[in-house]
Amino acid sequence: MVDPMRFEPGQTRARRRRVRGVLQALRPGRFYLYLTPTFAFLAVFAYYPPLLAFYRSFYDWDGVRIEKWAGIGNYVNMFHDEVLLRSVWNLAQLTVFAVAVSVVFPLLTAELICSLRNRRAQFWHRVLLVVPMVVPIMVQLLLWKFIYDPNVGLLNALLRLVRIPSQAWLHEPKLALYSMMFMAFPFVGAINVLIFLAGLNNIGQPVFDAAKIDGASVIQRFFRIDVPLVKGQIKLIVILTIIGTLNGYGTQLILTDGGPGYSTMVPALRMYQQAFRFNHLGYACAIGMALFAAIFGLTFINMKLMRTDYE
Amino acid sequence: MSSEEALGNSPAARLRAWTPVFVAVVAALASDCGGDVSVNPSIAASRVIRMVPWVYMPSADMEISEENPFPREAIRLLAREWERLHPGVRIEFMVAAQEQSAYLTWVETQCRGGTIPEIIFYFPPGDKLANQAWVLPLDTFLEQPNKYVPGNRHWRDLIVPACLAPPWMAQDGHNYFIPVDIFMTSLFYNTAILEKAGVHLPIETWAEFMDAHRRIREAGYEPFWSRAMWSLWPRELMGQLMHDEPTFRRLDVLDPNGRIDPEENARGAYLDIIGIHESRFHEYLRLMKEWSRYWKTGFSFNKSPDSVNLFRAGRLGISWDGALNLSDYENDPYVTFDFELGWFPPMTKASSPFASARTPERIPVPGTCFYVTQSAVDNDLLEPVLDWLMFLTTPGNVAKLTQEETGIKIPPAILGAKVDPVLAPVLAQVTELTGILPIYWGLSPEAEDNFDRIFELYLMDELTLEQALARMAKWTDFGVREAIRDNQTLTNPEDRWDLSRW
Amino acid sequence: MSRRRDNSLEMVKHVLMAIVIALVIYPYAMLIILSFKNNNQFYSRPWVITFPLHFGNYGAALEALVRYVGNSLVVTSATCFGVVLLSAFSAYVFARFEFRGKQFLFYAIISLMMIPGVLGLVPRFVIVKRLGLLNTYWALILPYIAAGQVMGIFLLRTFFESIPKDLFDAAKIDGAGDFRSFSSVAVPLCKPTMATVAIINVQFAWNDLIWPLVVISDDKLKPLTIGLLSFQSQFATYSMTRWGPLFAGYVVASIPLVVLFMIASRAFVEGLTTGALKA
Repeated sequence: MVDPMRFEPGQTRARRRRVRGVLQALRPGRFYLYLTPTFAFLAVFAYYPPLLAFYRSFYDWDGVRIEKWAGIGNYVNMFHDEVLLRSVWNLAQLTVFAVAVSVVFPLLTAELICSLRNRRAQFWHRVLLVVPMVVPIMVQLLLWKFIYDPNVGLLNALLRLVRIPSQAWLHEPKLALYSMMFMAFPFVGAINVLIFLAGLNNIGQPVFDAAKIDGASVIQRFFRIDVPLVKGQIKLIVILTIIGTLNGYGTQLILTDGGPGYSTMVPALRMYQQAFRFNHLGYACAIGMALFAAIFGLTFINMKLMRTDYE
Repeated sequence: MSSEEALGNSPAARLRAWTPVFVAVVAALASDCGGDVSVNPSIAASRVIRMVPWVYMPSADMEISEENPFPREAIRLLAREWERLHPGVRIEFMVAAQEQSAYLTWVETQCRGGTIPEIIFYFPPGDKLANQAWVLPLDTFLEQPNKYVPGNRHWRDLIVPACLAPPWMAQDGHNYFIPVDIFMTSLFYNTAILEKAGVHLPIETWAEFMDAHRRIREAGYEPFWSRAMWSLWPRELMGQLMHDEPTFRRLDVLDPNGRIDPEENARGAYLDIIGIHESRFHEYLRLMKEWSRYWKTGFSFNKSPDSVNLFRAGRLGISWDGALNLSDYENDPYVTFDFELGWFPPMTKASSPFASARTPERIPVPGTCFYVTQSAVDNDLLEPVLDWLMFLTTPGNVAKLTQEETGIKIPPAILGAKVDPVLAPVLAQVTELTGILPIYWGLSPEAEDNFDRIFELYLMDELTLEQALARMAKWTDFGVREAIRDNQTLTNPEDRWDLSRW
Repeated sequence: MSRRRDNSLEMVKHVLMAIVIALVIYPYAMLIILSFKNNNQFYSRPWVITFPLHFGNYGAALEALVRYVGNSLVVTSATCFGVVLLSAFSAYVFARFEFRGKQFLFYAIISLMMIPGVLGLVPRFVIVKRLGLLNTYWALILPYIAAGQVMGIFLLRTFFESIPKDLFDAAKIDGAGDFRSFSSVAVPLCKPTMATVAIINVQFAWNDLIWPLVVISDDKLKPLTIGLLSFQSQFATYSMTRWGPLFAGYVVASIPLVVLFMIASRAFVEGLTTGALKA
């Protein structure tokens, strides 16, 4: 942790040189030392549990009694599991939608805020965007449950005003998944907007001014300057959204339990059920590993496809 | 040369800020190597029984208000009384998460980690906990006398027999819980809506019952809903409405006692005596589909427990719910309409060729069930834990608990406990579940889950009868295989089924 | 002329923004409206303000929740501090220096983000128990720091990399070592991102439910979320929840967070406007 390059008063030159010589040899090693605290935490609380799960994914395991080596049996079973395959299709739809809206809407909002001339207004919009983050997910889900309620819900009440018949939304097999997609409405998560704002601020006024002098229209500027320059942020948000959507199951668990039928079932929820309700822990671990592999693959592709040059 | 001297002031200050983190990590790692600290020493020293009392959790505040209409403290008072008889042992009540998935996750982790309280609430019959040996079978204790009841020879004799009967035994055939109350269901008729719809009580047959639904819908109200349509309730009801004596006799053979126990159920499914290939089961599906046309708009099995609220808001004609909602409704200043209790009418041949024409019985179901966990053994508390449960389940004490003045009145699971008059109409027709053939029982949690989902899709016209049956058949086979496998790997060989008898 | 067009354009922007903000703020506004209702008002007219307002809901909520606020403050601030410090430094190391295996180590860290949470729940609980940390603040803080720094490192590394190398070279010439250039060059520049990381972690630690439920059973140590749970069961029976007091509880629980976010946002904005970030 001692920095060998620092000038330390009160030492003789010769001694300092000697110490510096030794430390020079250790120099590249110090980086590992710097990272030790991080990895110490991770080893205990973050690496060990999933590694254990990886090991368990090769077992037919109920957590206590049944414990039998299954080889890749759990992984093979996944391909025969109709429920899981159905849930993958649901997840694919959810993910494509989530990625699209979590880039487009926050970016437009960030542009809008950024372009406001009034600094105070800029500031307050940012603050107000952050405020709903304090509402716990549980409460947000509960509110959406009431909005979608087939009998007393807000949405049906609004539709009745324009004489559209009531729908069951989350309780209607054909609508449930789409209803779930729209629960993030208006799709401007504070964190995403903040990330884009930071990116747009990075671009800096001179670039904007230059574009203005060149006579670029707002739309031209958006596509030719802003979007390429916030590519890094887009990449980041795409990755975060993919991770969040693929690993998420809380909404489904609280609102629909994957129903009606299988219409909102997602792999992560099936994994939760396999682990906590059906006692198939080995299989649940295998599903978890498959999810991890899928996320890893998608992230990798995303990194490759969206190379950012300016980094 | 200490590192502090070697560094400039400002980085040193920064480093110092890191120190607690390092210390924590090092300490954590060190204690990890130090071996298993399995028992929290403070628990062992002062002998505390931890208990999840579920609905009987004492309220923080006993003052009745609109925000706090049903405060409780009976269990705390009973615990103080018991503690005075047993110096050195204390009972500590633990709050549970009411959200079910949160509670189940909590139970699971605490069981795996060995930190589960000694007494917990769990949903009956508790197969999951029993299979993992996280809770203890209580049969032998139930045979012993409850010393707090003079003249009692077997603790079991105090408990409403239906709660200990086969459907509520775990798969290994043992009883794992002590019930303190029973869950009784009842139909709640909104008489104002019935009047507007031109429906007159009493309703005599299933056909009239369906007709009443139609009229309520025509009058512009939601006819029917129950928050447990996915559960055992409708299966038991239909089992009574469509009773089939010959099939029953073919099932009740391994232990001919007038009941179908888990082994006989699994055998029945295995040999296809009950189940999806049977015309009686097809008729069950048809009847349920017909009925489901009148369920509340946008029903679904899961996460749709709105019957209570819809009824309270005066929008639901008929609600099938727990009888304990009775005192809730009676107490609610906003329930301004009249309502009446009722029960299902018999089904006649006019509705179905399989109709039994018998008046269905109200079958009590164990409500609040207390399980004794492995922690009681690990912490050497088994004896006081059982003593406390015996104390709690005397008729007098259960009456104090379930009929608490300020709380919602719940029917007790202990015979001879005095009940509040408000419960009299509900308790009038209580009988035991015998001779009833359930339509379908869960064989394994995964099979059951999928079965329900397919059933739901069938009712919603997402699957045709053939498609639904084909998928149900698949999951029944799966369930039978799992049930047999789970049973055959039980630790105690005596609990394993003798498949050669099948 | 162009000025007037600019002004009307500015107006349109403000209106658009107002609509977005209204939609975003709406859940929080609903929360407040619902917190003043009794159950009857709740079921009959949930979406509008109804009279009389039931202030009693707040009385009940405050009484029950005040003692849990302190616990949440301790856990959240310790988590936040740990995460920001650790992840800023590690991200700095990853962004600034070249060493063997750097890419591997970095991917080893960010791949943790991709692991489904349920997978590690039970083993993590068993570890915390074996470390003897059950029913201590550490049971919450340490795993939160471990989890939070993954995202923190990921975010901060990107931003450290966008700082021009010249700044660090200049510092090096001035004789600043690794720590010095971290604390005097990197940290001041990345305050906004650090604020973002802090906000994410505050939100996470404040609202997490399942983990504290699993590791904390001592009532004296419970954070707000499970305090709310016990509060909820006080107002719930089998079938019904008293929604008013419950929502009032959620409002009470969110007040410290609202205040905190206001302050954090200010720091965030200041960090942005002080500017050395402009490339």
